[in-house]
Amino acid sequence: MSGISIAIIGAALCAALAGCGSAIGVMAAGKAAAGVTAEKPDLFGKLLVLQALPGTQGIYGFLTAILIMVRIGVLGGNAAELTVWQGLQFFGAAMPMAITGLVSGICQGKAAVGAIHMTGKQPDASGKGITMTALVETYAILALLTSILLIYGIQL
Amino acid sequence: MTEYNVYGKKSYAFAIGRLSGTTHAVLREETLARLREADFDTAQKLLIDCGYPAVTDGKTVYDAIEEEKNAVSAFVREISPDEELTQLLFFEEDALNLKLLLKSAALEREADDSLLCEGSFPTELLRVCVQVGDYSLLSETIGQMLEGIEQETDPGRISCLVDNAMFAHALHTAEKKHCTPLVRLFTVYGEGKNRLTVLRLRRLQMPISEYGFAFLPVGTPPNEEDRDEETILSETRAQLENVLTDLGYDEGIGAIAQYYFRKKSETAALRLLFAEKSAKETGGSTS
Repeated sequence: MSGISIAIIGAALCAALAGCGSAIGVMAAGKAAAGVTAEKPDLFGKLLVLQALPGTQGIYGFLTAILIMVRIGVLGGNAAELTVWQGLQFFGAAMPMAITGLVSGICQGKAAVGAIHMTGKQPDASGKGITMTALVETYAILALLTSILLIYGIQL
Repeated sequence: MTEYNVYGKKSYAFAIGRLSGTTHAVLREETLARLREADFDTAQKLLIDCGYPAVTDGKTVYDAIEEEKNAVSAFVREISPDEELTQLLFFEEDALNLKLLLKSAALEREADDSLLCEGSFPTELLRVCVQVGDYSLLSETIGQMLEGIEQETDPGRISCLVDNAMFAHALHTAEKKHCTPLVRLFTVYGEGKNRLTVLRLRRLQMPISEYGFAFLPVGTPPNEEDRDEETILSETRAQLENVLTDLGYDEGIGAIAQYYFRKKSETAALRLLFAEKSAKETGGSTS
């Protein structure tokens, strides 16, 4: 297998896994939000924020994949000649965002479900719910930073 | 419990979301305390402010409480994704309906439909069972436990047999469906009821050994001879409260069961509370 193929697989996995994590998280939060909105339609605005929060991991995964594609020249149509070792380095650089994106997307979805239920019971507590859910985001941001630093640290 | 759904089916996540936002929310302890302190009219107004139906057109506060209870039953049935498990929550209503029909049959009268509440079994089916004396139409467990009940003449014994049969059916079905939250709830509930039965028998100075039929078929009959009533009552209350609190964290039928049991005990407590107030204001006593 060529180095460029390994790097592309890394970028694809990053976008796919983080996207799956977000999709699961947003789905779980969406079901709970739909239930609360069925009873209290006025809370839609507050609940939408909570439902959207687990969606950011998918964006981070997509961003990481784009950065890899830019670095290896796939986007410009001028793909770099990578050794297998360099390809593996790009693959490894994609993994923090891929794995953390998948796990934190699901976990943030669960936290969002809890916060949505809390908002359903106490609409004034939605700010606290958003804060609690947003804390899970920290680890996705750290993973994104790690991946970006690694991608730009690879010598071509 | 994990519930996987395809599009178009109800999900527990949606159901629990609806429970969180419902206008029929369980009253908070502070609200109940305010209701206890208020006089009858103020308490009635406070109850309406909490979302209970308005007391108008010759209706009493008891009608409003009954209306709320019926609305909660209908709501639980509407949101729950698993109909079979949800129906198990109504075992006490089924027992009440069956007792009423048996009593009416014994008196050779037609049962008053307005007294029947909505349980898990259709009242027509219960009626047919009473007419033909075959309760296996309801379930195998009920059929076995109520075999020959028409020969019974002691109303107390009939009442206990019906309660036991409906409870056993609910517990066995929950066990068969491997529904841990409901099995745990029914077990603790049954054991608690059995402890209360011991207290009642003790107060009536009746020997426990002669009233084995009065105990729900769960666990071993309690031995509470050396303990005082207050300890038994507070322990029973705490055990049920612990289970209900745990069920609140369940992501399946447990959360729905918790809500239904809390609302049921809330309406029962409110009925008693208003009866006490009414008795006090008219100079009577309910103690």
